Amino acid sequence: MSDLARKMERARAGVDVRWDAERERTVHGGLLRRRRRRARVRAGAAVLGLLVLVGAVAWRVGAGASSGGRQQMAAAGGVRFADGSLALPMAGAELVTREASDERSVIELVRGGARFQVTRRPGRVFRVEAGQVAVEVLGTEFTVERLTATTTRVAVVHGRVRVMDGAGERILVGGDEGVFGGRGEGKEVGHAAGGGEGSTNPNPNPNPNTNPNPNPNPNPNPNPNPNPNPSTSTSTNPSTSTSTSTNPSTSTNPNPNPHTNPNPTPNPSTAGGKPAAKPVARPAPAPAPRDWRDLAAAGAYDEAYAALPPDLATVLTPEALLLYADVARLSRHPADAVAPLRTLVARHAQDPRAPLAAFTLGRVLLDHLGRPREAAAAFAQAQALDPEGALAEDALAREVEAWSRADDIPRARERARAYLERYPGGSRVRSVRRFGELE
Amino acid sequence: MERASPELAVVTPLPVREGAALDLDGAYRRYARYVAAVALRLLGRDAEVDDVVQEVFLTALRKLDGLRDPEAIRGWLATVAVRVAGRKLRRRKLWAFLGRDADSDAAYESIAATGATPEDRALLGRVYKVLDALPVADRIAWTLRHVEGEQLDQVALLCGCSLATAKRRIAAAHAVIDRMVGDE
Repeated sequence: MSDLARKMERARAGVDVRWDAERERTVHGGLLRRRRRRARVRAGAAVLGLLVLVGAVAWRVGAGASSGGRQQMAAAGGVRFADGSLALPMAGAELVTREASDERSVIELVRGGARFQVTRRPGRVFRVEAGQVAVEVLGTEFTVERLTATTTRVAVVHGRVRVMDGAGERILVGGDEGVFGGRGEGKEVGHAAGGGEGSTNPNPNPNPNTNPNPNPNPNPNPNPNPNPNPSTSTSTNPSTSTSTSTNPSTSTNPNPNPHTNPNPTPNPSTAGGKPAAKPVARPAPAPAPRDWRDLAAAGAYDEAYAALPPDLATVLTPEALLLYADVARLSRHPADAVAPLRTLVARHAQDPRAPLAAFTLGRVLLDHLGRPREAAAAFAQAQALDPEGALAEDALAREVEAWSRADDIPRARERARAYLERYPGGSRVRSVRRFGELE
Repeated sequence: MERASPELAVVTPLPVREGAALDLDGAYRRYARYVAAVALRLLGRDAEVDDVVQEVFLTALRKLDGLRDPEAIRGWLATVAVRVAGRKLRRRKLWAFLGRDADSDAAYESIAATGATPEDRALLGRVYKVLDALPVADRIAWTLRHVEGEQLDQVALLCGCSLATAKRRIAAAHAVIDRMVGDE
């Protein structure tokens, strides 16, 4: 042991804390005060943390719960994604977000159907998977509906989507719709939307007697102004273009009267060297549902139209009104789609589907009913209901077109200038310039 | 060097029901003086002891429920006291580096009990002055060994290091203190 160690051993005996009862009480009092103060701080931090958590959850919900996970979506509620895209599920639909990132959003449609309004974003893939069918968004708005375990109906409201299934891929533009997917086990894959060359269906037109000659312009309301906008110029009006219509009531019987129409009628909008599309009989449907909603959900729009309630006042929810309008449009009764759409916009202006209803109303009025002034008002209303929404740009562009068709060139020019100012790099600049007569 | 610290003799454990956990007040009444003594030897300044005692028992509050053996509580409180004192010493060095340590000229002789000899009182003052210049880890290890009188394995336990590290720290501090103080 060193000398220092020996000295310290002796010295440390003299080190002592002066700890008496008074000091013990004083320190104890301070200890209790600090304990209470820490408890308050912890409580405050807990409250703050809770508020942050609640805020984060609210933000996530508001952002459309863009993270993965299974969601049973209420029929009446839409889900908005972080990028502003909107999914409007039909009754009983179930969607699962498989992937959500800046570059890629993948949503699986497990059952039912849903309408998607997709915000344009270059470089981002928005993909909806439904069984064997995958739909990649190139444009902005479309409906995907699972009819059976293997077949899926895709209808494009406007813009363009790429549909992929086991047989290849197809591009659908505004107004197009089709049933995709196959029945597996080596059976043929059905493309009711195609009806193109090589089709096994000699007459994809379900009403051959009413249209004995191939009609390159299926729109019954011929447009004197050629429309350069792809979503409208190539639009295949489902209410009249039976060559691309996938009305399940007809596709289950692809050729109801083959002897009266010996000549195949290729689809002018899709027969462009694409792989042969072969409509096949749909799987045997389940026992026929009676309710018009069930019929519509099953894609039987003709039957659903026949079962529509005579009094629109009994149709109350926005979702039902939108479905009512879809049934009317897709069963080739566009005039009957006007009332439910107007009702939806008037009664449920705050509903996230109101802008879509207004936009659809504009399309029906402009494309199917030849009422361009009313269509222009509807498109303007779609913009007013959601000025920053996914439909705003297209609604403004179509408003320009509507005013042009109404021969109100000053209004068309004014709205065209507004479009160019708001969307100088917009996808509809050319058509807007043309309809606004700014060229 | 096997002797127990003088403070152990004055700690009189209160009777504890078998298996009963101590609450904060009970633990304080039983071990506050012990913790204060450990803190004083580690810090060398009586003015900082109360703060360390409070901090130790606030830290202990969360774990007391799980401890029922009085001896385990005592040892564990010592470990917490070492940790809290170490933080305070590091903060003190930082303030000293910034020229903001108000008690840098503290008279370490005052920590000696009233009955201590003048030589012991002077030795303690010189030793603590040198300790102030040492790394905190070395200071704590040496203080536990030579001022607190703990055995080497207990020093390692209280410092949360290996026995070899504890020895190395003690030796490093001892060499400096022996050079600065031993020849006087």
